Amino acid sequence: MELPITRPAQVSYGDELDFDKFLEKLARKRYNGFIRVTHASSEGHILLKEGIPIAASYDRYMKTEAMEKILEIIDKINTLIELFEVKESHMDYLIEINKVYKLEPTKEKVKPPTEIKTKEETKPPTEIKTKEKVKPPTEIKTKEKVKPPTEIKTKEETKPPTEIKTKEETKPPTEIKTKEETKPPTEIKTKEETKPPTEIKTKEETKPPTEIKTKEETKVIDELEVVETAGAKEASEIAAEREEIKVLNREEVMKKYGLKDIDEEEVEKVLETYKGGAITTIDIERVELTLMNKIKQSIMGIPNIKSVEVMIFLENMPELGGDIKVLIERESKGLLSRLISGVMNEEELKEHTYDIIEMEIKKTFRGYPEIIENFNINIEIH
Amino acid sequence: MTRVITIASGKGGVGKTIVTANLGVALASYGESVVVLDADITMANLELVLGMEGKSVTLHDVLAGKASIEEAIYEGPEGVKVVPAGISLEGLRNVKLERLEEALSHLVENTDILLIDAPAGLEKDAISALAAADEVLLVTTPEVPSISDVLKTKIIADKLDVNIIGVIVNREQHDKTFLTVEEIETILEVPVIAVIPEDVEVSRSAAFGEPIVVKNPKSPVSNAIMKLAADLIGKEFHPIEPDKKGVIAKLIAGLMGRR
Repeated sequence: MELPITRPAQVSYGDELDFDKFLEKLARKRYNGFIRVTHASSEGHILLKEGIPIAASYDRYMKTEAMEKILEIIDKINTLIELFEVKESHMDYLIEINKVYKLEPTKEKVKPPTEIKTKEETKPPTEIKTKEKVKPPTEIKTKEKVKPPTEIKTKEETKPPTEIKTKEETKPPTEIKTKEETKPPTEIKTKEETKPPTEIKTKEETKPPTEIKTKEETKVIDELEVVETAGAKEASEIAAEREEIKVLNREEVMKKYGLKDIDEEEVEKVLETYKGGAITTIDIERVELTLMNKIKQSIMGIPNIKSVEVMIFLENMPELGGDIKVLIERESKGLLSRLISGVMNEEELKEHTYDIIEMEIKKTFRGYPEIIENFNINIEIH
Repeated sequence: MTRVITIASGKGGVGKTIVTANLGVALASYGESVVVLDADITMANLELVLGMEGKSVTLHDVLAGKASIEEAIYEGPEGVKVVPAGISLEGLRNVKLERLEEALSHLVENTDILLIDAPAGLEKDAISALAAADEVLLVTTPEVPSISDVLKTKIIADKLDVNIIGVIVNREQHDKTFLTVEEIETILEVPVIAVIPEDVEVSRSAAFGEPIVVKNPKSPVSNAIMKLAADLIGKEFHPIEPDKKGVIAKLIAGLMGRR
């Protein structure tokens, strides 16, 4: 079955749990959800609506057969039983997508074989043919999706009043018909969905069969069309509603816990640091120019420097780094004047220049002093 | 083809490393060739969880260009292969994350599944671990700060086009003060594929350097991890029933050190 596996509300082993009592408890609670049963390599599910098993699957079995197989292994020592809760609003959708697994015990139980026989006997073959013609298979399908008992309903529509009476007494689906007669089609649907079968039954019983007959005869095709179109509308509406609910829920939950999505800009920033620096190509040119001027100015502050040329070639992949080349031309002075003025020798000047460059880089990238390792510095003194 | 799966969280301390270590062992127990790589090079502790600390060659050495990745692979429980990150800070010197990609390409050659234990946060090392993967498993606890951080990680993973397999809710407790699975799914817009309950036994087993799936395979935590592993590789999961010893029997076993 197609079911949302989330956190189980309860986990038990087969031999630890009295499954009958467990089901009774769920029925009392009118529990909406499903039971997952895992035994050896087989897995099964029982879908519950208001505590009542609606659909079942086990291994390759479906419906009642699956239910029987589940009951065979349910009390075994190595059977894992998990209970999952589902929102009431999601139940109809889950039933719809798992309709092939739907249990149909009520029909079988309510209609004993003898009754069926009598019905068959009373119905002339011509009537059956006309029924088939009137109701195309697609229409029946749509009805089945929205209202499971519609099949029976169509039978009633074509049968004589006496037959209808007996069926109504024994079968709950006829109730739906009576509602349709009295209420507009759209309303009928919602009512059918929300009202339990017991209530409907009482209504049917109170209504005279003659009325039902005449209305049924005249409105058969119209009703079917209405049901079909309303069904399609309902499906699309439900889908739209569900989408709305999902969006709303997320917003609400996020608000409830004070959470916020990170914006696109922030994401890009994070990714840029991974890709290799949070600066663009235009920024790189600016950085090159700024760094070049700063280094030049600082070196020009050293005494007896005639001129300085600084060349910077930055690369932004995978991290920001590059080559820095500095050409220094000193003022030519005699040995004596150099000794007197305490001018640095070539090696000292190189070291001093190197320190200046490092300092300027660190000042430019204050947050990332380790970036210095990404630069190749080349100094030439003339 | 090798599946490269990164286990990421955003927030630290959510049990990501323990989940990674146990998941690796669980996958290996199903017969998969698994390599677990600790990409948390600054706060590495995968080797501690698996009782493999003190190895001579680690990922630090590989990323520093001092050793090949093959030299840093060690065999752990159930035959899982482990690449420890190295717990010494000294090893962090000269580490170049760019070498991680090359190391991974060597690792995937004879491996079915490569699990990468990503660092917490969204620094370069964490994003490198995410970007290196084809798939990602998000680990969170059902607490607001964890969810907030894992949401950021999820968004980054989306941006990097990494397939998010699902969310693992770790240390789940039946407590209304925490977020429910449904709420987590709604916020993250990613399905929760495993719920690992809170169990002090997990921390104890980690302290002894023994994965919980080996130490106590019958525990609910082990069953959850084994099921997750089975789901990941499409194998059948057979739950192992818990011990049904009585309280007194458990007490006696505990007193005699046979727990």
